[in-house]
Amino acid sequence: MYRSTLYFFIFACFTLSAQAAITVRAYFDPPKIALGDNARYVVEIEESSTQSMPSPERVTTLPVPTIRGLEFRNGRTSSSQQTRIINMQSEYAITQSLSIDAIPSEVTTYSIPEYTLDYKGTTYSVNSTRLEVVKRSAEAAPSANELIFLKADLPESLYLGQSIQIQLKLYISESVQLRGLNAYERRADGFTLSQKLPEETIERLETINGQRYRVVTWPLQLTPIRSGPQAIDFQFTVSAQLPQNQQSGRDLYGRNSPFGSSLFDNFFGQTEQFNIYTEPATIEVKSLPTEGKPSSFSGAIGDFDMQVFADSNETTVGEPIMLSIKLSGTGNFDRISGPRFPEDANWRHYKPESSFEAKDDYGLRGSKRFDYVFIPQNSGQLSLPGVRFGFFDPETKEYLELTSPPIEVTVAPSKTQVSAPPSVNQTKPNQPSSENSRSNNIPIAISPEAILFTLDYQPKPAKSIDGNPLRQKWFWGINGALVLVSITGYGFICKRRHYRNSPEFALRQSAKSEFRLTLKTARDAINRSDTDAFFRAAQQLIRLQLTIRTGRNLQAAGSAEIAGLLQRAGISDPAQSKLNALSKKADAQRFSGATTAGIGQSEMEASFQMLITHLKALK
Amino acid sequence: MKSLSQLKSFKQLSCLLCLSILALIQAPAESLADGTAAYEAKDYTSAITAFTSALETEGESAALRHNLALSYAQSGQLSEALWQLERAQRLDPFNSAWIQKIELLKSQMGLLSSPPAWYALAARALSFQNWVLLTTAALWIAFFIFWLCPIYAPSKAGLRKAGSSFSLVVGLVSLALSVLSYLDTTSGRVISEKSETLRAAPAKAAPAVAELRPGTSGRIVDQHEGYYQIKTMDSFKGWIAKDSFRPLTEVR
Repeated sequence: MYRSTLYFFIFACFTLSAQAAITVRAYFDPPKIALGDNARYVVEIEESSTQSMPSPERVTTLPVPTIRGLEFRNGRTSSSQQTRIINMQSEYAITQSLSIDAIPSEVTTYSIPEYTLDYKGTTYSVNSTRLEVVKRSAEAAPSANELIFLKADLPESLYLGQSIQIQLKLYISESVQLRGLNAYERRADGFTLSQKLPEETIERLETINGQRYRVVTWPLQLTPIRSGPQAIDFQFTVSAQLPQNQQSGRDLYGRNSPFGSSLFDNFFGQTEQFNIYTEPATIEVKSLPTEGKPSSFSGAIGDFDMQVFADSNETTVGEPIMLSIKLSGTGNFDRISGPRFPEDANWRHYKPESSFEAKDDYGLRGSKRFDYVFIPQNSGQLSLPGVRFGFFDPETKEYLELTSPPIEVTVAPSKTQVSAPPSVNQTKPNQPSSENSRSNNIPIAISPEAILFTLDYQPKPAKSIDGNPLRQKWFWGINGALVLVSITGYGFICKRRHYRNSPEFALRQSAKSEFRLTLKTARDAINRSDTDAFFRAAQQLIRLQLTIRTGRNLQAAGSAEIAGLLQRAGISDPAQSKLNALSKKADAQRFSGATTAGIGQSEMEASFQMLITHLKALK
Repeated sequence: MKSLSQLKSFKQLSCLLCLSILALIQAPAESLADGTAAYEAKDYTSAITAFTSALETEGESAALRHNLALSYAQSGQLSEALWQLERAQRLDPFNSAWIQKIELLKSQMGLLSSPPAWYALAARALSFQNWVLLTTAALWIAFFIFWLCPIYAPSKAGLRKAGSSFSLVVGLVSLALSVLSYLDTTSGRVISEKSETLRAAPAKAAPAVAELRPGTSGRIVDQHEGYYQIKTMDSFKGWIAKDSFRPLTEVR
């Protein structure tokens, strides 16, 4: 038992020695300020160890006692690490700082008593600390809060759902150089407000207490969504170069120096990042009164005018007519929906289309239009229903109702009935057949909407309806080829007709065919060694060739005429003499009975070749 | 043993591959059925997606366009629904039920009723391309019969005259219907769900000529960069952004 106790004691000592040493300290920075300045209340948790760098436990809340007149805001944490080596011994330390801005409201000494803080399962005592707030000297330089501050123009009360425009103003002294607007936060849980600041701002100069400020204004739209007192405030995180504090009796504005502010004041100024806030404000959000609320009220708050008109006062059954309602004025247009109309047997109507035309950048002023489609179901003198629009005027604090009388419309009977297609059951029951005069079937009426939204369950093969052959090359190519063929064919046909109608052409054609036949006859005569027939055929060939050439019928021409024609043909003299000799031999054999026997076949062949050769010259 | 097990695994792999191919082949048909099922389950967004996918995989058909139109109408996109329904009617021009549906939808949107005339329907019987080809073929046939037959078949004058007359009549009628079909191809609709501005010039800064309701019909007269010049049924003429107006047929 003694040993176990000893071991436990050693273990405890070891554990304790291995644990980090933790100290907690609280203080004000600075501990003394002038009224109008802010101080920081800081709680530092330092952990040190010789073994290793301690790992801190993140502290998210600080149970600081509430002090009357001292407001705490904007809590934040930071940490720093340190390693020291003393006599070859390492010591590790990490410091977690929790700081919060302390804003005093009066000249007094604020005292925060001692309190406890739980950290890593152990309770630590946080020491008491004091903040002394003194009166600001008349010659003291202005505090940061006086050089740059934030204001919001807020009303004292609003009605639930009422939209207004507010202005968030940032005042920047001319001695401050604003480097940047790093963050924007707002606390407005009971309102709808823009998440981000609008990009467009208004800038102007303003003088307050003899000091000039540049005022940057952001317009915002505010709408309360909860009733009762609702807190609202804004915070900016800015980076700005503030002027250097006063030195040697000279202040920022040079009041103790005949030379005014020094250049070196700004030269040594530092850029700081800090938070600025609007004064905490509460807006009393009132519920809308129930007394006097018209049935047509649907949440519109503001001041409105109404115009009602139809695009026509004549139509036919089934033809639509448009009823338009235009609301103009100031108010929460984004919450206004179009008036509702009761069901009417004479009209079928649909949800309206709405359009809004803003006259300012925030959507609070403008006009909103609702277009309703009304389709008459019956003919005759009908009336479009009257319109009632109720709204609450926050200025007069009472409900108002705008009304418009019914609009008379003349509806003519329809020319074509819009009826159900033949494939759908008709609303009338089917006529019973002659064989069965009674029917047990019950007809079911189908509405036009049901017909409209019935799918097609029988898809047909697809066909293409796109395409333009007039822009295709193949189309013009084929047509061009057909045109060419037509033109060529037409020319050919015309030429043939012309020749067929000419007697000279017919004679020549006849002579040509006769020439071919006679040529064959001459060859046959050579083969038979019939010299008489050969010479007759030879002479005939000459006559036919001359017929073809001259276009005159020379098939009965004599040798003298043939000789004259040959001479006029312009062929050579030896050719002329040979052809004339052939012709004369044929005449002699025909008229005088002279025989040409004894002329061999080879001689006839030679004569024939000569004849063909010279006849070619006649062509 | 080893070869048997290899053969078995090869057979299994082949079967799996065949089944996968069959599944892939059948997959496109599921888009139409998927769309129908989604529509009946009132999931109109999925129905739109399925029918749109079926348009790409199965090709365009009148039933697909019709069902897609109803899906759009049910999800509140009436202008798009009207365009799709008109396109379906172009693909199946003699479906009287769809003509009625178009008029019902137009009345719901507050548009004037204007069912197509009988000659417009006749012009939609064939596509513009087919009408042009028919016209060309008929006129060429008439020409050749009239000019060439007297030369090659002079004795058959009666048959020749009948043939050429018939071809000529067919050609002239199809020419007229081609013109009507071409005019029909230039028509389109405002597909924006809000009113659109008709401008005097093809520029955003141009002055407004009129405000067009969603679904308004018009005929394309000209186009320039991102704008169409259109003429509406009520004779408004001006320029509208191509994003807001879609022709019913693509005549390339």
